[in-house]
Amino acid sequence: MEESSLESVDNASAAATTLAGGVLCHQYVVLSPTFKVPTFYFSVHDFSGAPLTLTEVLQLPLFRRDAFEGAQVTTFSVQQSSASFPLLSFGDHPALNVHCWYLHPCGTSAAVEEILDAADADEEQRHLRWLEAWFTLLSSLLDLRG
Amino acid sequence: MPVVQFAPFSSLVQPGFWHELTRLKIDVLRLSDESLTVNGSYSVGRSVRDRETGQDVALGCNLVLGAAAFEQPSQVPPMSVAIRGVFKNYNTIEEFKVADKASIFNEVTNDMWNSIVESKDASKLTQFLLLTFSDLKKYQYYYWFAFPAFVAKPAWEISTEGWKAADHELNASQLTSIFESLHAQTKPFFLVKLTGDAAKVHPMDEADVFFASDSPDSTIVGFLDPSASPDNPGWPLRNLLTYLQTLYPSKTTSVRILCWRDGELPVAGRAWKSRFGVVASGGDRQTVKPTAVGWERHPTTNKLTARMADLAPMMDPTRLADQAVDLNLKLMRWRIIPSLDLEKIARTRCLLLGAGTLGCYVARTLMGWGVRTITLVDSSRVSFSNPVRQPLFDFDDCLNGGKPKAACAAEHLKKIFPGINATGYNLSIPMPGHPIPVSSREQTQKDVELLEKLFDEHDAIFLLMDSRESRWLPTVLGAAKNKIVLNAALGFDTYVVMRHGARAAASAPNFQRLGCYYCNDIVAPTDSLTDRTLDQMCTVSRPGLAPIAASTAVELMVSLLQHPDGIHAPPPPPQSTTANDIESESASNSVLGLVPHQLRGFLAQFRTLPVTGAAFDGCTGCSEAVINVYEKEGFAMILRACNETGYLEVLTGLDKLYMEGDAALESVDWEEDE
Repeated sequence: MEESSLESVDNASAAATTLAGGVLCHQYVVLSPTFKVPTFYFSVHDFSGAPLTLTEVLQLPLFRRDAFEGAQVTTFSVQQSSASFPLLSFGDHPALNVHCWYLHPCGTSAAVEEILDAADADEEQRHLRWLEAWFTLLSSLLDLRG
Repeated sequence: MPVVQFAPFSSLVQPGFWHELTRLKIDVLRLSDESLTVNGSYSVGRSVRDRETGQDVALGCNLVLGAAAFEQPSQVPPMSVAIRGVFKNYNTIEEFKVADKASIFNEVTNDMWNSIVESKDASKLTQFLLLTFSDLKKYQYYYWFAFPAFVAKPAWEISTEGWKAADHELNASQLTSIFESLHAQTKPFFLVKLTGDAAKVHPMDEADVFFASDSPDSTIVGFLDPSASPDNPGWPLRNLLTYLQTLYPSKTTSVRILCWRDGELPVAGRAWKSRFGVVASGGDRQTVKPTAVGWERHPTTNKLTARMADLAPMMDPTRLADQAVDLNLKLMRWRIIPSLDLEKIARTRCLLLGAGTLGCYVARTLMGWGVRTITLVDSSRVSFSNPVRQPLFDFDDCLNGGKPKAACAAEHLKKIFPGINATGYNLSIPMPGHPIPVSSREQTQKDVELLEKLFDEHDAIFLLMDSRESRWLPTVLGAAKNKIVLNAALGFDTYVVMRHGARAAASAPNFQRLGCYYCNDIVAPTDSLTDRTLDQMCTVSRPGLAPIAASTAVELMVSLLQHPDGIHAPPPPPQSTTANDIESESASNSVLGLVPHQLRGFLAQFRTLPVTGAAFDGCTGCSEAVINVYEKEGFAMILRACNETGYLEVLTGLDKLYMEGDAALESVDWEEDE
């Protein structure tokens, strides 16, 4: 569909700097109404607006390299290996009505409580500590550095 | 002096835009290709630090379109600018290709030129054009953006100093007050007046006043810059310069430019991102509309072609089903058994001989494991008693004599999961003890050829028929071609599920081969079907038995596939049924656990017994004697096996075994009680 005669080359235009293979990832932290815990949602698409397929999502630098090898998480996870990877699921964002990937919250509460019990948190700061623990848990799976 | 190289816009479309366009086309536009107004936006240029090289990488000079593009009026956050565009959706790819693009482009540039010379309105300097064709069946969207910009002749040049950091020209407090003003009320273009150490932002419509005064040195022309490249100001500057040069030619032979790129105040230690430069032009005032450029080039080829967004993987329901099933299986691997080889299971092509109760449940369970190719073979039609026990049929399939079972089952599999590769063949399998009449010989030979071809094209064969002798030919074929053969047979409340061992020619010399269905029986298959009473003709089983046996057969196959030795996997050592033994790394285990040879189930006791049966060298099904004759004589041998009583016994030497057995019995001196 090339139309090279549409316009002549213009020497005042720099080359476009679109990164090859660039993608746009929207990340959200949403309160799950069912499980009453924060849940990590994300959607990712390329610059033409096409969402990434499962295979492409798994290759994102968002996930740590060992995320899918059943590697044991750190000392706070005393459960069996069945808990080492929270369920990656696909569904609707609860508020925005867009398709999103999310990490299923069913095991979150138990895992966070493990960390808090081990850390001997004081009651006053419990909510803050809870969130910090939740992010620690998340970052064992995801690389959230900007 | 070097020519200024402007960074062109790169389009960035969000999936929501395509969804909204689809909805609009279906509900509103239908076949109309009238022009509509859409809104996009751009924001300050951003760059990210590459974690590996430590370098800053400039992100594109992006114009973003999202789901809100069709909404009026457009709302944007601070430090972003809303841009209007002309949008046309064509109904066919042909119309899209032959559309007079130059003409539509000219309409936009005419509008922009008029806004300069007639209305002196800087708000219409940045516009875009978007042409699309939506293929709603394939969920593919062809599109082409244009960002018209007037070409300056001669071109603008940057001073020999080049572009430099804004804080080399302005101090921190000046930059801060510019930021605060823009943050409170974002403008795409603005003028900055410097007085001493202070800086004040003025809207572009005060340009008359600014350029009337005599001290141009304290005036800076600023714009919100979507580019992040240090030496390339963003595209909107081009038309702004044309605007200024046309309206204030004597005051704009040299212009001081502030490229505003700070979306936030810099955090301690970080530098301001905005850039400053002085551009000059030797040109005269433009009296006629200049030529314009701006069609977006393809990002990979850099050619002037349209682009395509392929949303099929996430919008096509068949692809979504595919992905959901795939994700489900991957989860099993990630959470429970990382070394599970799911791809191996998925690509195992399964042939199911029999599409009755066992066949239906086996097919269902195979689909659960993600098997992608399932072929069914059956010679009968769906009858009224079938649907309740055979979950791939329903009532309608029984009407008008009943649909052929195999094809009907395959269709139903596709209804459950469209991505399945399912086929059904209406085929009779010749059986020993059931002579083939001369008139049927040709058809039977064709059937056998088809059966042989099916064996060659599949990896695992399930024998799920309802008689003993019908399993003979498949056993021979499976052994000859070294295929995985799973056998399941039902009694009233008992079942046997087993895997056939490999043939002797394919096994290591001293290897303890496992037997087939006939190895333990020293009776050759004969006619067991004629002269049976009604209750013996159909296998009447407890309804729960078939699903148990069928799923056991599938799980046995999957466990076998996960064993490194595959078909040659040894049976578990005796007494290895406790949980402890499953944990140990025994040579007979796969990652899923044991790979037994046979499982015999007793529903009355809710008990399953693993059994190991050795291969019998005189077996009528899998011995080398039988296989070799089949390989040499093919259909002729099969014909004899079906037509001649005693043929198989002679071939295997079973007849001698009987004679020896009879002789042994005769020679026993039975003591008669007196």
